[in-house]
Amino acid sequence: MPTLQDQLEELALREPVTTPTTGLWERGRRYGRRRRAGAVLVGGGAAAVVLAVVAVGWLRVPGAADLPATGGTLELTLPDAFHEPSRWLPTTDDPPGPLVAVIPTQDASFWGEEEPGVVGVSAATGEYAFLDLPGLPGSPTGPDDSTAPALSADGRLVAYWYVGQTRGEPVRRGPVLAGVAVYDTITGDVVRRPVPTEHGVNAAELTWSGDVLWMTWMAWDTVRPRSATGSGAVAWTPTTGAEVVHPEVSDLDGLTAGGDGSLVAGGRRLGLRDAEDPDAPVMSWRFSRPTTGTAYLSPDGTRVAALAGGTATSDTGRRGRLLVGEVGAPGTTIRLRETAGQGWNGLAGWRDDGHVVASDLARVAAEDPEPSTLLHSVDIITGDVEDLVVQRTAADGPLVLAQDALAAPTYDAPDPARPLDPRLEAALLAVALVTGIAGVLLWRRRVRP
Amino acid sequence: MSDRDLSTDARASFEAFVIARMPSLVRTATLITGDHHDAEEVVQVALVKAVPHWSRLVGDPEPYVRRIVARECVSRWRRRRWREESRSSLPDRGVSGVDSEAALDLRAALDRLAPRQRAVLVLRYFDDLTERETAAALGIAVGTVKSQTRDALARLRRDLPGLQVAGERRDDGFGPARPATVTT
Repeated sequence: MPTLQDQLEELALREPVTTPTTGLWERGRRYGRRRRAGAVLVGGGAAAVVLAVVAVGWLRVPGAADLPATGGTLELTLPDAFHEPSRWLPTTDDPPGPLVAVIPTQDASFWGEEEPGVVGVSAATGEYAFLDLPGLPGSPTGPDDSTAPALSADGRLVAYWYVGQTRGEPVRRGPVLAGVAVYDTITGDVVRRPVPTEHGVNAAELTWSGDVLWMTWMAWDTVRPRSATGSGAVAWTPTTGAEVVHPEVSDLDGLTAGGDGSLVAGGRRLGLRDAEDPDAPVMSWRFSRPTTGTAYLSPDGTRVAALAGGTATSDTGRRGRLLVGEVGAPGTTIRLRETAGQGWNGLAGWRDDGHVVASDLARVAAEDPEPSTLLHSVDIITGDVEDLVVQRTAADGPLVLAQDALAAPTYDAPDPARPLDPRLEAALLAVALVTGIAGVLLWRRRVRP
Repeated sequence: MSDRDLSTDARASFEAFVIARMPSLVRTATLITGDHHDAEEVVQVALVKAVPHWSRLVGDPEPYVRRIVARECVSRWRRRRWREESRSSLPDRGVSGVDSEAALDLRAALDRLAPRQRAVLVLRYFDDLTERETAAALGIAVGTVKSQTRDALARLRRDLPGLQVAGERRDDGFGPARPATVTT
């Protein structure tokens, strides 16, 4: 009986092989060319999509700004506009150098989860980037959550409250403030000043005055959230480590920087508190007329500026007249006179000894949904106004300017960086790659010889 | 040697291979597809597809060409079988030549096998490939070749009682042969 092999042989030999053997080489060459052309076409299309995505991402990051020349590394320049920072901005890998401003806002992870972050605006390039601040609270730290960072006048040091452990049982779950850290934007070093508490800090403030960082806080006395609080205030010099406790200072609201680390208070009187001697009496002057709670001393310390009291507030948009007076001997009365021109919503400081920086709220463009804060330089003699800065920042916290930047030359700020949502970018690239690879494979399989 | 010379050499090598090996490849394809015309077309397609790669195949192009033939046969036969099953009855295939009763029975039995089982059987027992070579030709695992062979032989033996299969070699082609004949 024939085996399987024999029978297969018989079946195979049943039909004579008459397949033509000519022309196969030419057909094969043509087939190879079609296959390569299709692969190049499909692959090139996918590569074009990838390039387009990368190019769009690149175009949304503006080039370097044309900054005015400055005399040294710590000289600041002032952009004529600040923008709402994108939550997709990158985080700095290296110390960014002096900053002209910091903006508290929301930092988004790749998966879209948001947590508080701080964007720095480089004084050297005008670029925006999230600062790598170790220990920055990743979520609200208390009912008041007043943890805005503070930027030193020269833009080099960023002070912020960091989170950590309490000595006893914390009054609430989640992060609790444990002290103040100072980030050096040139060296990247971080210096910490712990504020040990039994149950946690529920309100905290920071203000720079020269090299001195004023810090105040309220801390719970018991683990009950509505319990009484104790407070603390310290004038700390991070560069030397020196610090002075100021039991008479309860909060820093409305206080501004004077000379030599001192604090300036406005209102019905001008007060000047020395940083180094907590027992020294507060130097005081009467105002000839009431002002809002905030007053600013001129750089040479001879003049004071404030807004007329009772009307001006940036919250309600009501304006007050700009008042300027000469500062005489302590205990005397400062005669405040109104400058010519319009009223203002607020003050930001002095640009030089003859100009005050005042702010108002206005819509820069008719289509703007919210009014922007505009900073102007006001001549204290003539009342002449020069536009300085537009703040289009409706971020979570206020823009924090380096005080020295008010005196700096201005430049045209570039358009803000608007990085693509990295999830969208990744998805587009993945789709382009998968489509390209699938297209090439499909083409190579479908093209017939 | 210039590109033109290389191309001329490759073409000569290709045409020599076609003349020498095409009949054998067509017979293999005929057994796998069950259709002589399909088989001729499959082999032509395989050879055309091999041309762009020919310069890299010089030396031993047959495994590559056979792999294209085997895979193309299986996919074509699957497509053809699906079309035929959709028509509820198989087309009447004309018989040419003088076939033995046993060969006709075998062809009917092969038609009832799954495409891959049929391909495995043809490559193993007509082309005399090892399990490893068969696996490479079909792009499947050696274990799959073993199981498909076992299942295909069992099915054939059910349909063709008394089928004899010549002894299988060891996979490496050496050593004592297994029992020379299996009789059911």
